[in-house]
Amino acid sequence: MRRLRLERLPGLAALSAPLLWAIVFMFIPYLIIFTYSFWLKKYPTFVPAFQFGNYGQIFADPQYYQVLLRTGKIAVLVTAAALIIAYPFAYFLVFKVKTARVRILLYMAVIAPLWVSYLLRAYIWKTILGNEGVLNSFLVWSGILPAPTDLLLYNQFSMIVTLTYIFIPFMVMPIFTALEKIPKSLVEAAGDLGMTPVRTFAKVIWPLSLPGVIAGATFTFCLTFGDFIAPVLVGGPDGVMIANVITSQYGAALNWPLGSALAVILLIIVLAIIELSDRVQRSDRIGLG
Amino acid sequence: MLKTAAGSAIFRGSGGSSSERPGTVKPIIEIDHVSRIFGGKLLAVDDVKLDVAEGEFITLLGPSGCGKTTLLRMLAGFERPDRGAIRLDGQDVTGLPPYKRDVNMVFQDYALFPHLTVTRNVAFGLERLRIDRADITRKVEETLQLVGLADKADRMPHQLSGGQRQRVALARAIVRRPRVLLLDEPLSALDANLREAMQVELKHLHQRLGLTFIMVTHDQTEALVMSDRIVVMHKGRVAQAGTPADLYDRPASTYVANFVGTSNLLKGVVSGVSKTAIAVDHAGLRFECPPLRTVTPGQHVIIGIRPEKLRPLTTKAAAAAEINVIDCEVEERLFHGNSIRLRCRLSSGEPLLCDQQLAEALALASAPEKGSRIRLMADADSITLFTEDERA
Repeated sequence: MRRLRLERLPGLAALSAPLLWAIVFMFIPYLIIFTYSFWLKKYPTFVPAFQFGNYGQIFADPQYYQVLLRTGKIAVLVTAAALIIAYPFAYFLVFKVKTARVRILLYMAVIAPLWVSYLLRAYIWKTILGNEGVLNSFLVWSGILPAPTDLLLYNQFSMIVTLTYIFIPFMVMPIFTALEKIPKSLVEAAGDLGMTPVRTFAKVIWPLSLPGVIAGATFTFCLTFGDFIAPVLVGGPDGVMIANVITSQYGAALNWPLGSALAVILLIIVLAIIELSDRVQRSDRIGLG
Repeated sequence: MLKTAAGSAIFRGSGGSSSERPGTVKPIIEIDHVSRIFGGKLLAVDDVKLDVAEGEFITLLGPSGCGKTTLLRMLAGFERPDRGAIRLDGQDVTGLPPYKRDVNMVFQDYALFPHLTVTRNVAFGLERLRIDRADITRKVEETLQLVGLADKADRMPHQLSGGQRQRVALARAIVRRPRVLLLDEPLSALDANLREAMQVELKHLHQRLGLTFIMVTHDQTEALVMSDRIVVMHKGRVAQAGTPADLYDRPASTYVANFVGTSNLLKGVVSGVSKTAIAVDHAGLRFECPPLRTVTPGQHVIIGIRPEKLRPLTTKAAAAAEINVIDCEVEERLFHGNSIRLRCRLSSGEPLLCDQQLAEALALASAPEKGSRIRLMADADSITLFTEDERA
């Protein structure tokens, strides 16, 4: 027993730093938030308690559950938009681009923005979609519109555009990887067995790339669901998302217990989505060997 | 080296049945002066002309990079010829995509669909043929029965062994009863024992189905055992096409002589040409072989002798013989089980291989010792004459 422990010591030592990090900066803060979520707001601050009033308030007050629903809707739309753009792009890279250099170059063109500050990338869309932005200037210049429109910015549309742009690398990466793993001989075999390219896609390529699609959709959905910068920068009055509400509960509203309850619900939703996608992945895990 | 001995033994056994030349029947596949150029300069397939008769088992044989796989892929429709035409049963299919060709391929890596069961893999190619469900089920069952996998119908490909996957790939291709079945190195991923068993099985399957088989391989034993006809390819061209016996006994070039089996190749000078024989001198030794080529006295040539065609002369007969006799020294004895290979050296310094069958009980004991000088003789008919050296 003693001996066994000694042997495991180096391994534990190597693990201890990240483990400590995770405990101090993730597990304990989560625990604190979880505790706060049962506390009671008592003007001007809050007092320790164990009651479910905060959770009750969230599901009783439309102000809160509608923000949750809206956040879900936006996350679904962003995920769908990202998928519609990312899949054809990744497919094009893997199956249509013949030279490896061009493929890597185009792939990096999608990934590279990840190294640019998130804030900057969100801000760009202000200058594109704004009243005096690039798009409006073009529309007026080309005569399509008589005057600049306000419809492009500060609404859910601009949020979806911005969030899709920001999170699309997370959709492209897993789909690209999944498509690249499909042996070219499978595509040839399908053709050899009488399948047209369209049917080959439906019967071979799509099902085999599904793990990548699920992974990409999970990333994009969860990242969008917790986003709070895009609503601030490009969202309008109808663009408030759950993370913004949480921020305000910790700030101006000074209602930490309610904010914590919202954060716990957000966490549960995201974890549930990840768990679900993990199960779907597992259920049709297929060896590409 | 070992492959040579096995290959030669088998070809003798099946010489008669496969010796009739195709051409009398209308060809199912006509490869009409086809070339394929990669990247604008690399001539992968160079002006190949070849007809394949219906029901024939033909093998494209050659080392990697000789163009055999490219040629096969052009037949399947995965590659398009840059020049020339391919006709399937008289119809030009040169520009036809794979899914419109009545040929099917067994892929080297099997290319089984990993997300489908064995049954659905095999049924995959039937779904577009407008036959009803019950018919598909029956055909799939029959075919799985044929390849001995009826009990594995519901397995996924990753649950099967290499040999079983091979059979699924085969079943998936033959269930459509294509006009031509293409096999791309079908046995290369199997271990030696299984490979030998599958060689025979594939041959039986060919006979049973009556389909045309075109196989690509770099394994000469495989080619000799299985094929009705072998096409030896070299640098994108057809080096020689013929029955296994043809190729082995009458190689057209030193390249073929060396690639199919092993040959002793000796440089020599033509010393006389008559109606019945061509005489060649090599370092004081005199060889006579059948006059199958036009040569002139004084021409530099190469003679080829298979190692197993050389037999040691007993002392009494040795003194009398003068023609097609080789004196040499045994440098090494290599025991191969059923035969023994003598690595010898001529007085001219040339190496020479001689194989001796160990059919009798005391054959090994009586085989020449290392270091001893022996006299070997070959029949005139077993000596091949080449006018130039085309070895790679």
